[in-house]
Amino acid sequence: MTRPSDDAAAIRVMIVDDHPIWRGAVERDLTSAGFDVVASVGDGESAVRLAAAARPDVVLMDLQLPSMSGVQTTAELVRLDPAIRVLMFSSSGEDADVLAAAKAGARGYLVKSAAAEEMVAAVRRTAAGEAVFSPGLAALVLGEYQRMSSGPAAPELTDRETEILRLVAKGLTARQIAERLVVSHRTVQNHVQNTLRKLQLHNRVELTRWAIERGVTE
Amino acid sequence: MAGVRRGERGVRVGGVLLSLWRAAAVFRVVTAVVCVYLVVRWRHLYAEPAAAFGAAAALLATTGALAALAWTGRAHRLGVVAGDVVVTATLTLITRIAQHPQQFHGDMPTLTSIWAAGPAIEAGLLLGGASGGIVAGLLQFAASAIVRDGYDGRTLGNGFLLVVVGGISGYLASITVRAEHERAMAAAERGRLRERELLTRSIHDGVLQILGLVHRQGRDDHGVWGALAREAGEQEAALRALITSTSHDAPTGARNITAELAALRSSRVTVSTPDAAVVLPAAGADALMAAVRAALHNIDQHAGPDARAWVLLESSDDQLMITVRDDGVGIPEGRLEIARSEGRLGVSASICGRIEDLGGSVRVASAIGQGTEVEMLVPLRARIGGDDQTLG
Repeated sequence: MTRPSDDAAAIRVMIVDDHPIWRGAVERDLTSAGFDVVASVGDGESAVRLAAAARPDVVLMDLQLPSMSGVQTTAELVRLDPAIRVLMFSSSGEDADVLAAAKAGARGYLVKSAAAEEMVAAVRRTAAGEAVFSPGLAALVLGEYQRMSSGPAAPELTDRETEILRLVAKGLTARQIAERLVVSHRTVQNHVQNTLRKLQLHNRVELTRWAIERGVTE
Repeated sequence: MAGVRRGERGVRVGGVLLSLWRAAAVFRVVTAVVCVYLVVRWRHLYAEPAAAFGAAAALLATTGALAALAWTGRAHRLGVVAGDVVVTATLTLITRIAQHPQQFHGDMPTLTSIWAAGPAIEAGLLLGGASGGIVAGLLQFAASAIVRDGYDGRTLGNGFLLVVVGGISGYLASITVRAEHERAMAAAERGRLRERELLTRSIHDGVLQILGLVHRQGRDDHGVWGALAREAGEQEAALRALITSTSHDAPTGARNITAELAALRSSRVTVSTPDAAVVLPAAGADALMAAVRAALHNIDQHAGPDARAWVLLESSDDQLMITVRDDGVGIPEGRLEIARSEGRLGVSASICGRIEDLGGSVRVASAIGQGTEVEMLVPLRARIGGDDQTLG
């Protein structure tokens, strides 16, 4: 599936949020910023059912959903279309869920207290393939690598990746990090994306191993 | 009398009571086999073998019917147990006809011998409490006394055992059934609490969403609505901090640094932690949290009105690092050293002193216009001042 670049065509967005008022507000903001909101649904089941037809580039995903959880929905959407870009968008303190969704294939995380312009920028960056990291997500990812480091065949962060994640976790923006380290903005982005990609790859390998050990086959 | 309440007479029983009934059925079957075996074995000794065989056949039939009822939970009825009491007493009385007088007055057991203990057990299960079993036991004792024209030491001993068995089975049945009932109540209570927790979580989430929405939609207004929106933003951050801090529980005596740091969140303070709880003994946790609060207080006082702060917790097997960063005005080079040399404490005592007491170190980096970063590094194997426990 090909993805339109930032400017070529309107970015197709699906909103998954069980809160109708909030969904409406987000939809208005995105539409007025020029995005094409192709679907706006209140639960994970509908999101999975509609994804194939609506073909969103970006899924704005609330993690707190009624029946099928945000984490499950993310995993299912990514399984159906590995190129889909899920941006977690969530309000309460649910660190374990954020980490689980990131491992399941989400491309970034944004807190709901972010301003409308921040959200619009985050969706645009996600569509362009960048990883949107909050300080909270960076700390969770750092902690996860630290936790895994005692296990066998654990993925490792390079020194540069660790350094950059720590700066993100301390609240620096990608631009500030690029200035501080005297590298390009793009380089910072690549490093951040890599940390997530390695984590997701490891997660898939672990899941496969888990399935094989228990004799689960397709 | 939970047994009676739970297993409404006339209705099928289940759970623990069903298991007890099945155990009683097994007892009846095993003892019936013993009785029939004795009748067959002593067939040449009886005065009226036909009466003995008739009684043995009736005994087997009764046992079969009762076991079938008990196994499916349908024996828990007054009619069934009363019928069993009557049949068992009657079969016991037939001993008078089947045996020679020297036999029923002597050492030969009655035709029903130990099988006759059944009704006492069943009455205990049916009525719950000791009394039902005791009454059924007394009736059976009366039947044996009639067979023997009175009682001697042995009849009395057997009768006493019968009464005791009936009483005990009733008592055990009632407490077991009550325990089962209480366990079911506790499970239901846990379920209700869990449901409530989910409900609370979803309500909190709804409130957070609305506060966030008000903040988002109204923040650009310069009048009353703008103020209201900013207030909503403050409240949202406070509620989120509260939810996060109560969702991590530490064991008693220990303190969960992850949760305590999360509680510092506000609209100006972002706190980022790993997913796992970092647990410290109380003394170490107090000192560490005091140092973090002092650093945030410094930002409040000196970094400027628009400064925001970020707190980062990182931990590895042997050390713990907390970084407090702000994007405020920064500290001019050398100012910290000047303050220290002039005897003004500030950063040096409130942060460095506490961390150094924990065996750790503090690094402060700052530049004009670029904010300040305070890095507190604490080894997890170090001794905390005065406390024999190690951190971590």
